[in-house]
Parts: sequence; C-alpha cells; structure tokens
Amino acid sequence: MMVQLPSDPHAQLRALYQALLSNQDRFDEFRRLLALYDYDPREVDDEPSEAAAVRQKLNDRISGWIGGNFCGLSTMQTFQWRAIIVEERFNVSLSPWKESNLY
Amino acid sequence: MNIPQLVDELYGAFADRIGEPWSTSARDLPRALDLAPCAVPWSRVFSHEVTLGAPALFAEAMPTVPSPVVREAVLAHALAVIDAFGTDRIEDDQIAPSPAVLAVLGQARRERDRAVARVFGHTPPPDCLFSAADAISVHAIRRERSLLESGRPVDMRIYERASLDKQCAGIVASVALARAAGWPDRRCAAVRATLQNVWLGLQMADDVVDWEEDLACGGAWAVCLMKGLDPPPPSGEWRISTGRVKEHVLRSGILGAMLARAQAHMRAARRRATILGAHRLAAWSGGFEARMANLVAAELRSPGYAVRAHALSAWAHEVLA
Repeated sequence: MMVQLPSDPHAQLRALYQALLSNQDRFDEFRRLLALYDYDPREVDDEPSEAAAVRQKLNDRISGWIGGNFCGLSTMQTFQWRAIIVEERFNVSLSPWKESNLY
Repeated sequence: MNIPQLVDELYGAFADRIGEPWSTSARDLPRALDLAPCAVPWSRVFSHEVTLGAPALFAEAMPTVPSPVVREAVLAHALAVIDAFGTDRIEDDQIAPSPAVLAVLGQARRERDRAVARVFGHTPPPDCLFSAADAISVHAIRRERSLLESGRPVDMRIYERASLDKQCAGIVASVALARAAGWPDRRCAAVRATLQNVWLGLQMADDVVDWEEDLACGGAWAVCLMKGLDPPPPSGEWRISTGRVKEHVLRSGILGAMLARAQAHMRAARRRATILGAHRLAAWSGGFEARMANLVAAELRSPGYAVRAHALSAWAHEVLA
C-alpha cells in the first residue's frame, strides 16, 4: 500500500524503514540492489555509471513503495545502508555487536 | 551493584595477573574471538549484564553472603562463559585461534576453577565443578555441528537439550554461589532452572535472527526444526532446493514458534527469579519476555519480521533515534 509521503527527509527515511520492516519481498529486493552497489564515496569522488544506475533503480523502487515524492538516497546514504544491511557493519559504540547471545 | 563495571574490573585484573605477552592478548580477546570489531571491554560486547554477570543477579537474594565471595563467583562465571564462547567458535571453525588465544583461554579455565574453589574455601562439591561441564559442552558443540550439517529433522526437545548442554558451563558458578550461601537443594535447583530458561530464551531468539547466516555457515536449527514440524514428504525424505529454503522456513511458521518458545522460557525465568528474590533478573527477564511477545505477534502478521527487524535495528538506532 502506498502512503502519503511526508516532505521531511527524516520522515521519509522512517517511511522507508517501515516499508522494509513490513514486507519481505521489499526487504529482499532492497538488499539485493544494495549488494549490487559497488561504490565507496569516501574513496572515489565520482560515482561510476554502473553504481549510479543501481542507485537510480533503488530510488525508483523506494518511490514505488513509499510514494512518488521521495527525494532519493544519496551516494553516502546508499553506501551506509549497504554497510548495515549487506555487510552487517555498524558503529559498535552506538549499537552492541550482538543484541542477544550466541551463548 | 554495577555489574558490567564489576565484570570489566575482574577481567582486567585477570588480564593483568597473567602477565605479558598474554595480558595484551587477553584484552584483545573479544576481537580475536570475532565477538567485537575491535578490542573493547567485555561489558561492551553484550547489550545486557546477564550473560557475564549472572551470579551477581542471584546475589541480590543472598544478603548475608560477603561481597568478596560474590566477586569470586562472578569472576568464575565470566571466565567460564568467555571460555565457552571461545571453545564454541574454535570447535565450529568460526575462527582460527592463535597460540595466544589458546593460552589465554587455558589461563581463563585455570583461574575459573580457582575462583569457584575460593567461593567455598575448599574443593567444590561435584555439581559445582567446571570439568564435567567442559566435557558435556565440547561434546554438545560437536554433536550440534554434525546434526546441523546433516540437516535432519529434529523436535524442540532435541534442540533444547543440545542448546542446554552447549551452555552448561554458564550455570555452575551461580549454583556454587547458592550452595555457598547455604541455600537448600530446592532453591539451588531453582537457580539452575532459572538460568536454563534464560540461556534457552536468549539462544532461541539468536537462532531466529541469525538463521540465514547460520545456514550459510553449514546449518540452521530453524531448518531442522521446520522439518521436524511437518510430516516428511511421501518419499520419506526432505528435499528442498537451496533457493527455496527461505520460502519454506517463512511459510512454516517455525520462526514464530521458536520466538514463542523463547517467550515462554523468559516467562518461566521471570517467575522463578521473582520467587527466589532475584528481582533485577526478574525485571530483565520480564522485559525480554515482552519483546518476544511483540515479535511473536509481528512474526505471525508478517513472516520474516524478526529477521528484518534485527537487520534494520542498527540503522534504525543510528538514523531514526
């Protein structure tokens, strides 16, 4: 179901979070597209055309999920999403390495 | 009592005592065991105080036990759990241990045994010896690996037995503290049962959110339990193509069933801890129970929810907070 998209970028990210949380197909597609995004904006200035195409497709899909006025994920946001969702890396000082126990 | 701080203090003193070059390796152990991305204090590895500080939570109900005795029990427990993590990761080939890691774990086992003896002031009684738990645990880790790799159907009873055996070292020091406090057998048994509930609840929640990763590394309990839920196909054997495992698992409802079981264990832990007077542990168990209840409901509404929520949680904490 498409929702009325708020104009606040933070609220848009919240809407994206909810869209991914509530639907397995969206989550799988999101993760699959992020895995294809092979670009680190901290190391190279210009986004390669292949990566730009992946990000464009990702933003198109997100617009489809949460509404047409989505302002789009930037290169850095896409990179960060990939780090968290695909590579499962995140800042240990903010988030415990393991929420529960292996043990 | 600040339990995470106590654990860090006790572990830091242990690391200092064993001397260089092992002291540095001991401080680096969370990273070396791949439990943290860099050398951090143990209190930062887990998001709660129960895993490494369990005896201190029971000590709330033992006001007459001197603080040094509680500290010895916490030290024995923390080192036992750290060694169990290390052993599990080494046995499971998740890490290739350096000689330094093996040396630190060996020192941890010796210090653990000395600490539990100091809890009593003499040789511990048979049910408070770590040596028996070590043997059970290693056997359980190997059996688990073999079973998961085979992918054969199991029921919840087999799963829970395997999980408990793997984690049995995490019970010894708390029971030792209860015995040293003069608690009768019935209350000591309740301490054991409470921790069994806690460890099972934590393990099940973890086995749900990590099931895809576990499967990629050789096998997942969720898959074996799913096969145990449903009657086998007429051929008598499960044959699920790799690409369709996820679809089967999500459709089976096994993830929700595991979360519901985790919730039941935490409920039992909360009730037992309340009766024992371990109110801080009871409150923590109650919080976990409530989170499981929410996840069970969400998983029923939308299969795969728990895994997605876990995958998105780091991002949500940092961006949506």
